[in-house]
Amino acid sequence: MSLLELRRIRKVIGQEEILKGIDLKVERGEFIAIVGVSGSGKSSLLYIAGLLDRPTEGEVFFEERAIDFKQERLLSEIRNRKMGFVFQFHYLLPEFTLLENVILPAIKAGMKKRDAEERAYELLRRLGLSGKERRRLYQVSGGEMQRTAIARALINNPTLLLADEPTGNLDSKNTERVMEIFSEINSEGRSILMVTHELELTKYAHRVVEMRDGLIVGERRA
Amino acid sequence: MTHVLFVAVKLLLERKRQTLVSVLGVSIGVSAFIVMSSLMVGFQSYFIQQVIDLEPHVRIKPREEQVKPLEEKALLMGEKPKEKDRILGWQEMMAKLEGEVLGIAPRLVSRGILKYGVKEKPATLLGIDPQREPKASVVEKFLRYKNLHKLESNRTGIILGILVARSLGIRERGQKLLLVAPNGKSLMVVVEDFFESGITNIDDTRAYIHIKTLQALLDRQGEVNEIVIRIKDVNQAERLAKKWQGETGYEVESWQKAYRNFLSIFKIQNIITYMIVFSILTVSAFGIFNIIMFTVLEKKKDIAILMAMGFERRDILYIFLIQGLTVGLLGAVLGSLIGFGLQEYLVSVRLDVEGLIRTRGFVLDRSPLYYLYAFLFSLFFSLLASLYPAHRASRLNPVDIFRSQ
Repeated sequence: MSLLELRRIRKVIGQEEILKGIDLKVERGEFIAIVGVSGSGKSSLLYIAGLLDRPTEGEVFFEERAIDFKQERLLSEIRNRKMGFVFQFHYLLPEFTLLENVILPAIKAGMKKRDAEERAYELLRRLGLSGKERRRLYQVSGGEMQRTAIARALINNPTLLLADEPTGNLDSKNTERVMEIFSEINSEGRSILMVTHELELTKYAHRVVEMRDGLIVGERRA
Repeated sequence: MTHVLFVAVKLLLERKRQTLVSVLGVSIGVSAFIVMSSLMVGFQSYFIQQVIDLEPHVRIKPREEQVKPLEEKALLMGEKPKEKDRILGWQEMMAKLEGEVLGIAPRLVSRGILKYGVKEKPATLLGIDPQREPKASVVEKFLRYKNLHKLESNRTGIILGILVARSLGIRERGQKLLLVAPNGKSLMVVVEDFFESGITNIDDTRAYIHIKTLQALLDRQGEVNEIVIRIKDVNQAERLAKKWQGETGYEVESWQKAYRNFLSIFKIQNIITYMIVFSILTVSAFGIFNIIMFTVLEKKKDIAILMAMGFERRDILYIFLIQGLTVGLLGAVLGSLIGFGLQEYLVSVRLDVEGLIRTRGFVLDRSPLYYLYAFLFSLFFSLLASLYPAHRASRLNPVDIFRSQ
């Protein structure tokens, strides 16, 4: 049974057809890398898979349930409790410490602040950020910010992690570190859907999907 | 709601300086509202209370009639207009109304000139019945020596308005002065008391004398030209005046009508004051609008990520509304404290205020309602100011923002 299924997804913005009928299944525990050149539609596909954007045509199923994009509250709840997002830019809130950034989705989910902090401490420790929990963004490196963003994405124990060029702003050392973390997360049974244009990162994925001009043009098992 | 408060408070605290400026803006508006309202209403209430106490609530007087203009020749011959200035059957009228009112008294009112040495002062002479008058007005409250009854025992006694006495140079009772009536007759009178209502217009023009003395001086024995009435509910004065006018056929005037010029001025004064206060509040509301709009524009990507992590549109709306309301609330608290401090200061100031009223300091109405209204206005304006930016933030499309990065 698929965790996420996209059927005949089309996305038109203005006059331009960004996605031209995409079918994609993400199985539980699967790590998929979507590759393609810039403008191929891979990020647009990720936004639809992450329920952030609605398709012009087609259907999305999450945990075998057809998604109604008009039900914004339900979409928010799924994003909050079942999904985690990691972007090329960390998108951490500069007013908050690393710890506060991490606990935000948990507090939104209704977790007590103290419990959320305990979990955040544990995640940050696991991601090599022990002792830096109370630091502000200007006090940590780019790699540490990205690892904090990963901790934030994991705080609610999501079943699906969506990553859009997660290492796009990192050096090779930090890239490797982040990808190792992704592998570890994946090995715990979480599915990962990662968009990247760096082909060398596909070695971490189970399956590689290649996109071009809004279409899936190739697919291979890694 | 914890998550919303958590983000909203954090965003506000991170912009301490801008937040403080906005809070100060609101607090100036709030304190201005409290102080100006209490000063304005205090002054107006004081004036109205003095008028209600001193003046009759309703007065019956001869209908103003168009007196045919005298020919030039008649004027040169010293002829006077025919006397219309009296109420016929006043005893019966009073007897009839007595059961409906708290007090009723007759008066004979005339102009006259008071002479003391070389000084002269035109005055309004109120011929009163010292026994009945206290039931129709609380004139005794305003007398320095409470000597109203002396007009009964000493028929040549006179009570002077404090400013009339000052104009004549009279400082102590027992002084004798000459009262000259419009018909040229004069009478030596003795000052028995002074009254001080605090209303300049009254204290500077009025003198009380026994009605019979004035009737004799004017050759108008048994005549009155005013019946003054005190009623239980001052707000009913207009209605009763209309009713009695129909019943008596004379002109019946309520205190509101008698003082309509002042009451109209108060209305204009209120409008101007509240316009100023609302202008201040509007400016402070723009301050709040500015800071929140700025935050929304600056925080677009943060809003997008909050949405991605599951914050709903209404959460985003509340985050910014709460920021506006917090500024409004803090401004209201600070403004109330400043307003309270200013009130305390103004109350303690001792100075002779001379104008429409005379007091030895500011007259303040310190009703807690002004604080409540200030709070409500402040919250309303803050909410109004943050509504548009908050709505705009909640309608942002996270995907558009991610794409634009």
